[in-house]
Amino acid sequence: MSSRKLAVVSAGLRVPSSTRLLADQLAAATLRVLREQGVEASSDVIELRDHAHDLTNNLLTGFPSATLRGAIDTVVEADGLIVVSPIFNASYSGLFKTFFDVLDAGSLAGKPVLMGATGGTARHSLALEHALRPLFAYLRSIVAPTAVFAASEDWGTDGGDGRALRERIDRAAHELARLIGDRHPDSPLDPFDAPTPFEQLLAAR
Amino acid sequence: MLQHLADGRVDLMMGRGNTGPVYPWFGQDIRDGIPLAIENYALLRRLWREDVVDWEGRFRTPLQSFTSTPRPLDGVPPFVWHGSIRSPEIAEQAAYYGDGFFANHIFWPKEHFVRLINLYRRRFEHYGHGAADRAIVGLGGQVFVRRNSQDAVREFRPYFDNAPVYGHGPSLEEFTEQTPLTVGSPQEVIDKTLKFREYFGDYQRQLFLMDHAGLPLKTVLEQLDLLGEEVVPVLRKELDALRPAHVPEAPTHASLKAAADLVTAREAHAEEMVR
Repeated sequence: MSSRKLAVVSAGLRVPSSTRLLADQLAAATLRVLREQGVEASSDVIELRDHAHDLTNNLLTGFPSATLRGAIDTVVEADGLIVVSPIFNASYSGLFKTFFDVLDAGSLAGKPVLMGATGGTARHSLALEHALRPLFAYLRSIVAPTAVFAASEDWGTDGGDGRALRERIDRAAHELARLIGDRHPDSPLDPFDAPTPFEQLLAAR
Repeated sequence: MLQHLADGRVDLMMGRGNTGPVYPWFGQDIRDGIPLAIENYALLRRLWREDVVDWEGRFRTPLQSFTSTPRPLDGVPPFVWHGSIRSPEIAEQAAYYGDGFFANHIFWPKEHFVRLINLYRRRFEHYGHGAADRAIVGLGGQVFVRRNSQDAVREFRPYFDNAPVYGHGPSLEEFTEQTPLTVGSPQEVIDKTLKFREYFGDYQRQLFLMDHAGLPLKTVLEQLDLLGEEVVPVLRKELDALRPAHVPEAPTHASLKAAADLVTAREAHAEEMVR
């Protein structure tokens, strides 16, 4: 089997960022599971902070800069996607949403996706279910049943040992690995390479 | 009518309008943009070419024994360009009829327009109108020019930064790099414009957007003078010298009429031979 590619999208804003930390752990776990199954795999991380200006410019001009184009291609061409956002005001961050807003329609259809989010307290954890999951359902992605939320206490404060988070990451990674393994990537028809013949356009009316 | 008034100096360029609010002005829905463009143009072609038309379609009431007047000047409809920013269907439409294709060019990077124009050229050949490099291509461009490059940048930047289309987004430098926008001296405009043919192949028409970003009228008029005096004559000369002999000029009323007359003469001759 050919090598599989993971794209990891992190919308963390600070350095170091707990959002990035969660993204890295999800990616490492998924790669580990894939390799255990004899699947060669690699991952690329997209830090949305690096593209913040370009994302706003894309909203205004309608096209991505060459750098942002590269990031978009990485995500669209990946066999699986890990997406992690901080929870702001009960939802994904604006930066996170903007990235998915500038993708072409249908770009993520059929794409295996593992969702993660971070926040100050576990009270925000259901934002994954009421904000992120509908977004990826709309984009027609195949979303892993387990979504992973990490709150401050999961990083070893408050007497926690982080085991619960590790187990959740592991479960989610297995689910994503299975989705990737089941996937038979189809290359969608490129309308610039294979246009609808004009007779068909004429007859459509 | 315009064609008669202008004594044939008319091309028709069609564009669909790219924002939602435009369509309801005409009682239409933007989601029908492509089907409208296809049906309406198919009808227009018949109205020009057939004296009496019976027609039925999806977007307007049927026509019965309808004659559109005035008839095209000398029986020759104007040359048509189909303009597009992103729709492959419009490139396909232009190619199917062997009409001209005008790529907006100014809003998006060249990589996108290379694909769009290559699609048009390939399909032009597919539909039997001639080799791909003989297809009729027009390009947009936008410039702000002053004799001195630094003056151009200094004067244009505040307009750019607040322009309706690209304002408050990318910097002038970024946008200049990503799109055909040129802000500088006449020589810089000439140099950048001459590069276009390297990406898109030899092409027939270059349109420049001059009245943009809220420039005052006086400035726009100065821009037209500079363009007409220092840029266009050089571009014409250089592009003519670079264009290979087999690449045709864009059709004019005279050349379309001559081609039509030739067909008529051949038909008459063939008829003569049969007799």
